[in-house]
Amino acid sequence: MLAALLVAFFLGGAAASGALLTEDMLKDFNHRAEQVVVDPERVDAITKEVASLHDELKAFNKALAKSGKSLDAYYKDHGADAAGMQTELDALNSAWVAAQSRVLDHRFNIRDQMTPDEWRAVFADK
Amino acid sequence: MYCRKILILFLAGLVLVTAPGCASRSKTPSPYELQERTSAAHADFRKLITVEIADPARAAIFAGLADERDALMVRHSESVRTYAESMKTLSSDYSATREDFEKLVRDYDSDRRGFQAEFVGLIAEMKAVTTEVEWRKLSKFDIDALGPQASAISTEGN
Repeated sequence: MLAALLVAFFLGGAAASGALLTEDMLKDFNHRAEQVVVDPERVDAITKEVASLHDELKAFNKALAKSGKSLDAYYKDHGADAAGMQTELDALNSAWVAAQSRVLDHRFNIRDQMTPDEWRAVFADK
Repeated sequence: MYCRKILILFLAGLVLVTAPGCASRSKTPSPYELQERTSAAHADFRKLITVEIADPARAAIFAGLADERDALMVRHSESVRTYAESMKTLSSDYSATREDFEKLVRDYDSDRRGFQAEFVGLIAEMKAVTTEVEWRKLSKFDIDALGPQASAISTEGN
């Protein structure tokens, strides 16, 4: 569990990934978008993108938890060398970068469905 | 110090991203509780080092490495916080370009990899200065001391 915590820490955890959008924030975002955007077709498109983004975050959280278990094992094992731990972290870093790229795809798809004023209204008190 | 700094960072992260009305918020200890708990854990850890590592010279080296690890965490916590704030700002900016985001992610990833390498190196040094039995007890303490907070963070972060 400590290693899982460290992984989340090093990856920015909720703070860093959440700055883009966490699962909790996504619910709030979608709710706000529904209030701001009046066109049902665009609301539908936004909802679908938010759902996809949600799936992306969930998938990465699973990968994070899995790596955390592996890193726990490396951490506790006195005989485990640094290379194994580093390899695990490197793989997770790469997965994080790839996930961020996909998250960005969704973020821009969502933005493209909204006007600048709508976007500002959704983020008004964030 | 080690536990306290990590947890303070995580608490900051939770405050930063947790949406209003999050049902799991009540599971998170207050900052005061975290401070108290982790300060106590830190003091206990320092005591444990001297108890488990009978050789004063090795105990001193181990404590020094633990201090280095603390300092690394503090430096990285600042990096994480800066990244999170920058990402929040970009996210809310309608006119932000994809390249703006990619540069931020790239720079942070590079920064983080440096911290990770340093961290992994420190863990290896800490293992090297302890016996298997000593490490088992010391690492178990780390894990046990952070367990409840880690669970709360996991609930919030997901």
